[in-house]
Amino acid sequence: MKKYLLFFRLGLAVELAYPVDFIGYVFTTLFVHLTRFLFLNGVFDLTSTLEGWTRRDVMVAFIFSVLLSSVVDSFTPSIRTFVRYAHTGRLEPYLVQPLDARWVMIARWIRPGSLFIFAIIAPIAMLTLSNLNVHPTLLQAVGGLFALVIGAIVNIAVMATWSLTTLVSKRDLPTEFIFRQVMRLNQLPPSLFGYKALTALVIFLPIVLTSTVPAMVVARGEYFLLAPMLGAAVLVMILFMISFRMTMRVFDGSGG
Amino acid sequence: MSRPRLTFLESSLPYAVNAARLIVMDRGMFVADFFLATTVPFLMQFLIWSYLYQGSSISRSFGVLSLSQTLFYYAFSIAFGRLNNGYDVVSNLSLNVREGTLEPHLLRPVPYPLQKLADFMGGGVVYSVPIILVLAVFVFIPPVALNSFFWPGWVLLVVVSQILCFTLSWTVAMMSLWLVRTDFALSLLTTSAAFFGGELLPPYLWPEWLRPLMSYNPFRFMISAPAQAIVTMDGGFVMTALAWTSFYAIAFGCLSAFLWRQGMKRYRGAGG
Repeated sequence: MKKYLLFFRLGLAVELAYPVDFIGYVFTTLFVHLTRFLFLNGVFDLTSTLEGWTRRDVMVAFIFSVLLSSVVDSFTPSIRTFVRYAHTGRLEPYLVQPLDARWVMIARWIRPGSLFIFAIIAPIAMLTLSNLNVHPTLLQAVGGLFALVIGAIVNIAVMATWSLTTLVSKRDLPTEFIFRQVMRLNQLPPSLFGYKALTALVIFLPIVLTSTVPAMVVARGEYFLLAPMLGAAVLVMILFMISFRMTMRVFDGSGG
Repeated sequence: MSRPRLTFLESSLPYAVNAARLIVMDRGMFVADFFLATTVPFLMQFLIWSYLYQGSSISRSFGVLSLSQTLFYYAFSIAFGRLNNGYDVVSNLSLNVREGTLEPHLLRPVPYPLQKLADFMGGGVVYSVPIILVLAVFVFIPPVALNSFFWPGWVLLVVVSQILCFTLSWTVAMMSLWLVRTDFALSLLTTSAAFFGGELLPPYLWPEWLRPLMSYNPFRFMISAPAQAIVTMDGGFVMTALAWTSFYAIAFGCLSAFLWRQGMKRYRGAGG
């Protein structure tokens, strides 16, 4: 465990060694969230509801997506660096270290700076929730938090699994870009997909529901997607383990 | 006997050909990129706008475009957003500076910024395939009048928009020479392109106070201006957009050239 905590300290040290980059990163991330906020606001200037979801419900989902991405973004640089090293044939030194290679992929190059954004956003989020007249019961609050944790696990596992394709194809697939594009669907109310599509999404693409499911629990008191999402999280983790083992067997370390 | 001096075009053509060939070789990635990165944002807009235009909302006018025009607007702007994407321009320079591997590129006869321009335009040839696909649907499904004056202007606008994308991205990439690590510059570039470019909402649907900014910023002329021009088939708009796009392309070209010179004076090649 100590070794893995070291990753965190190392990441923080790297982040603080480049203060301008760090401040720039914080401002850029806040700008990203602002643009999405303005977009959703713009859509709700044209209509009062989106398939039963009001502006308030969508804003709660937006708040959860901000919290979620600030957790997931800490792990993204690690996955990206792992893949880049694999692509350029420099991964071996890290694989022979007495560490679990899966954790090396997910956490060795962690950049915990985005957790700083989480710390800024979390109190603002609480305040906004009460301004939006969202007063969750204890059950809703616990359910929402649980859904958020599931969401983070799903996102990290899916991004890592997709990134493994580089180890087999030896090509630098723009996984992160594709991931971010797919994540845009998180802005839509799940009801807009229809029941059949929603079932397919939970099974095949649960990442597009990771910030709306906590909002469903907290803002609307709807719990029916919580259990399927838990199942999806277990499924994507198993899929990651299997894919990791299989790709490591094929991976020859020569780069591409 | 000395070798004949190559023209600029002859010298830079291999960079463009290599960039295009690399993408064609990695066609699996290109297809995955196209299907996920292009169709998913479209799907999102499709679901929203199909809902907004149906039922009670239809009485409200969302600007000047019909539902099919709106959907084509999004299809084109998302495809242009993918074509005019300066991510690689910034990340390649940033990586070279950070790893101290810029020198071999600087020694070549073609100036480095022009190598990268040729490289970018070469890749653009392949990334124009999604636009051609959307164009085929747009032109043949509801028959569009083929106005001979419109098309050359529009094609020119697309080419100039690519040059603008490069000069703007190169200007952003210059930050690497000062800051070394430019991860945030990359996300700033992609987010600004998606937001200011008009991929989220057309400029006229933003609140009044944001409209001038959304209509005349450089990202808009990289992404949604060619899309709006073709959907509305407005020749006058093509000319206006062409003037703005050229202006921004030249302005960012001059700025990046100045920054490149200043940056090269302080570049030490040690990495970071």
